Amino acid sequence: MGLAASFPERAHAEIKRGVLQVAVLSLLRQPTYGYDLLKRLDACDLPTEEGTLYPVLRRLQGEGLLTSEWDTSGSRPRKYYRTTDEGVAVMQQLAAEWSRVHAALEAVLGEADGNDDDSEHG
Amino acid sequence: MTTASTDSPVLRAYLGRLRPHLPLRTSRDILMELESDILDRVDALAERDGRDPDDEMFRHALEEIGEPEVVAQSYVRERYLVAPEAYRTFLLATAMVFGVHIVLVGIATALGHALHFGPVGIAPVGPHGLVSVLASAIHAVLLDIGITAVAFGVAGALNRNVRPGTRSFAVQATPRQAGGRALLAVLAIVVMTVFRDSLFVVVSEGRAYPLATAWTAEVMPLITAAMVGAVVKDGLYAILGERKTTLGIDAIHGAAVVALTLYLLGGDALLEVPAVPGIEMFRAPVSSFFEQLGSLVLAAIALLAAMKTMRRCVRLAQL
Repeated sequence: MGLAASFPERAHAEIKRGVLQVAVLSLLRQPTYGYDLLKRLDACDLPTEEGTLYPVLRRLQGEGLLTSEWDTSGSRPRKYYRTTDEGVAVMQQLAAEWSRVHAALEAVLGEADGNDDDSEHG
Repeated sequence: MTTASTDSPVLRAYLGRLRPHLPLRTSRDILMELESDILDRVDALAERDGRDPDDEMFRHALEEIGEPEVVAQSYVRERYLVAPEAYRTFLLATAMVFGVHIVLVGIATALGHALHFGPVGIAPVGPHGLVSVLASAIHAVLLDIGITAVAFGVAGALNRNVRPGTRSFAVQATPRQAGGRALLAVLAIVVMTVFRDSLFVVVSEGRAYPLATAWTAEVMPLITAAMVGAVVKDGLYAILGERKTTLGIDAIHGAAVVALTLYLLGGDALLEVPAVPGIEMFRAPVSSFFEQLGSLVLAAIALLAAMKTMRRCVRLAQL
């Protein structure tokens, strides 16, 4: 995303970036390779590009949350990723945090909607 | 139906454009992974269309993935000479070094002669009053920032416990960057060694003047200028809390490097602007052909580095 991206676009990208890591850690509890992971994310309504996903996978691997190994037994070599035990623990923490933040945001938005209704009815 | 082939010229051309922009140590692994991904994409397109893979499908898949230079950028982490989380420590260390340096300059001034610590000389303040004091202070600041930044950069590169992505000066160079750095380092060492006492020469009105005194020849002012520019940029990142390059920060960095380099190279004479009072204390006439040649090479390196920075600003402005 370049400098010319609008604020909503940048904010959307920020939200998506945070969600993607949790989603990846969760999905990779079952080992799979990059392209298959892209399709599964797309099926979950989290469309992602290679230029976004693969660096995230490497970064998570660098943090010790994923492991990877090449499988050369098939028609073409594929790099399979899997969430480590530490990755599962981190994923559970992040998932809990997401739930908490989601509930808090729901409360804030609900309060704001209530205030809007009050102001409309005077 | 056949599967997509690794021999596709479209695929090979794309990966060829991608390779020079990827980090040296991981480029092979990244290329293998992306190649596998692209082939899976093309097979999916072939299955959807009910025909064998062809160049058109490869082009379509690669369009979906994006330009190789843009894709490569996502694999290259931002690099700092001084990492944001180390910046406060760096400021404290530089202030301490500068404090010691100024005290030594004061002692040299009181004694009336230079102090020598091996190859390092600490000179007294010159005879031009406040101008000499300011010149000595500016020289001390530049030298101390440069030396401390190099120390932090080396320490950061060696510190494997630093969180990935924020490691100072992390070795994530692409082949071109690594080659360019190595070439610059070799040239700098050769020039600094051979032309130690007359590092910078300004060609002005048909005469050559070195821009170095005995006590500024110890550390190449060009490296110091580059370090100062990089540290200023790192400082702005640390203060502003931004990790992505912004046009404004790079423009300031580029302008600072250009201005500082031109000043150290005697740009006031080249540009025919009024000289800083007291600048003549740094210059003496010289006529050696090799000294002049070496300094012109150094000036060319400095200007190329500045141009590269400005080109990057232009490219950012086009995003």
